[in-house]
Amino acid sequence: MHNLKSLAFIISTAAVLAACSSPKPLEAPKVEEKPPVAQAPAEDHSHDVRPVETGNVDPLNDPKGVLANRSVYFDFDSYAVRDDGKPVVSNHAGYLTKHTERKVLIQGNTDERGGTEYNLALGQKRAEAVRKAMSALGVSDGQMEAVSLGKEKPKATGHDESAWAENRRADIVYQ
Amino acid sequence: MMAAADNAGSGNTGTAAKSAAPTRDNGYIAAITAKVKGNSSYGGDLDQPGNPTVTFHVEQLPTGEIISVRKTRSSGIAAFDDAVEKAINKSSPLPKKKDGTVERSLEINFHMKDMQ
Amino acid sequence: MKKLHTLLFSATLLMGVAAHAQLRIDIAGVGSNQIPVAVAAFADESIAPQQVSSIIRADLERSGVFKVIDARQSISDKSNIDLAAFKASGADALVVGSVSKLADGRFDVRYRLLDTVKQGELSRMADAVAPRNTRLEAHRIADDVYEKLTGVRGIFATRITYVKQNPAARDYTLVIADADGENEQVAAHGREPIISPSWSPDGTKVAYVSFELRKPVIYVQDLVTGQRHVVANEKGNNSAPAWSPDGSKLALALSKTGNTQVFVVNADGSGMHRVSNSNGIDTEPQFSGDGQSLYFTSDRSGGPQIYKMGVNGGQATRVTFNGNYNISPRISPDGKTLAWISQRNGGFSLYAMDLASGQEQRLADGATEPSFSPNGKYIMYATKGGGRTSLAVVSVDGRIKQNLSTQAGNIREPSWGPFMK
Repeated sequence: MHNLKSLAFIISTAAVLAACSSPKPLEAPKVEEKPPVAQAPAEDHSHDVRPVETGNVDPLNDPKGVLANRSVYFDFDSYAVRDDGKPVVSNHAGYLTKHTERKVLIQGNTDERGGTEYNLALGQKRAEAVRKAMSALGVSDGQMEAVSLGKEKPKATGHDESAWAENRRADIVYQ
Repeated sequence: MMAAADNAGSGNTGTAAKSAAPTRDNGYIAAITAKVKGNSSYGGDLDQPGNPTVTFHVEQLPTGEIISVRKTRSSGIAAFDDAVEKAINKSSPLPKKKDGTVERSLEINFHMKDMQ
Repeated sequence: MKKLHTLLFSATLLMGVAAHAQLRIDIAGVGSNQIPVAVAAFADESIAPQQVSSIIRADLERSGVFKVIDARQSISDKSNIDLAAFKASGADALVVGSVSKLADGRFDVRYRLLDTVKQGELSRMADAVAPRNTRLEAHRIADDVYEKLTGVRGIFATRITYVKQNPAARDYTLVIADADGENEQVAAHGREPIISPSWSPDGTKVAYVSFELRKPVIYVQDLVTGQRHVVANEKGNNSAPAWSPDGSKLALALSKTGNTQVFVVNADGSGMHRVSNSNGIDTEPQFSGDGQSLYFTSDRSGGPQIYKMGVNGGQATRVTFNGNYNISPRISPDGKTLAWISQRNGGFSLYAMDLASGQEQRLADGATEPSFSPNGKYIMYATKGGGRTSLAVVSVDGRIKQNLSTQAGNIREPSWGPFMK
């Protein structure tokens, strides 16, 4: 009996010392009543099969997933989400309601025509339209901020309708 | 009238002849106008109501040399009055008539804007 | 015979007696509107880093108000000058001066302004300046000439700020320069856009909007120390800062309530309160000269128009009625003129309105982002041409127009600084 207690003590001390030398923060050593398993020969895991849940990768990071599409486009002089923008809104609203710790900046843009400050406010209307649509689908206010870049950061640098159409846009930017 | 006809082409410089001068020598007026206007410059605002006008009484010697410039009516805009006074002074000696004489006294009315 | 005498006598009376008769002359239309001024090279001016007379000459010419005559000689302020000769050359006034080096390394710059017609002295200045301030001193002399000959304070010694950008390279710089575009210095530089700079009334600080936090945020930066603080970073947009005339407050456009509205805040960022009240966009606030009113852009009636309201808000009255798109209001320092940008016939033009009469005048085409000079005589604006944006200046009566001595790059968002002590 005495020998076993001494053995247990020595092994515990060894465990403590081992714990000390590891980079993890020091934890109180657990005194095992059972014989220490660590000293037994390694188990044979060669026939283990570990299951994987397919789709457990964060869908936000899937370049081929629907959430990769983060832009909502607008008609000229319009601040209403078009039909083709509604799936983008609902997809991201769906994600955000499931991941309430995630936050987004919704950045509205305008094409290059018009004054700097007035366009900043118009771009805001686009961001706000997307924000309201997502809010209607249950996303909490604390997760979204609607802002505008006006005409300051055009994605397309041409001076024709196709460039302008590309720039009349609100982007969902994850923080 | 006979007096006027007598003196028109006489070339006299006597008083009687001068008193007949007002067959207006438009060439003489045009020459003075051109010289004073050409010497005028005014940097102030031309966008004024009406057409501000300043009047100066000018005395000159028979040589055309100006000896006195006296404002008799202000345009209401001091800077314009000054600009016109400067233009008149810059124009000394004033041009003479074809016959070599001058009008000793002039009343110059300077209007800020062109008359349409 | 008696009849003839009577006739003669009456005729004489009618015609007047020549010695006291006045020939009446009417002259209409003041001739040139440029005041001819001769500028002489200053004695020994080549010892200083800048040629003082050249800078004076360029300033006076650029103002459009003077016809500058080169005196073709160097004339010291201490010389006896034959003013009659200059009068004969057509000059109304003559600028002369000298530069000498002082024992402490500074330059003694002296100047006299002489009236060639009245043959007297109109003005003189004498200042000891550090070599790096030679250019500034030349501008100060030009301001003195301008003021003595026009009665209006000159703007040659003022500064401007603008944004120089190369978006393709993600390069944005807030620049401080002299009013003639020379002497550029960098106030702020980064990879995200900077817009809407606005000088404090005392000329020591600039407020501006930066997108460095991926949204528009308003900063106020002390130019001398480079220290800056955030004045507004509310939820949404923070933009369009405009100082009150006493420098104690800023009016701003914030979208924190959902749509963009006008707010006022203390210069340190405290005391923020909403001032405008509409369901549309209210933006681009500008204080009136007396600090009692705010002019601003609002699309509450459909398209953007310019409105005026009290500095504490309340009822707003509409100011622009022509055209469907009127933005960027700016008020002249004397409060009498409104300048703004109007879209007519597809293009953007700079307009000025006499607020008392409502009469408007188109000053320049292809213009945006206007800014008044502190003497109210000129408006600087951004204009596109040759594939890039640059700055131009137009006089408030529309008669004089120039491009700024343009540096390379895309330049926009000018703000004209105040008179400095």
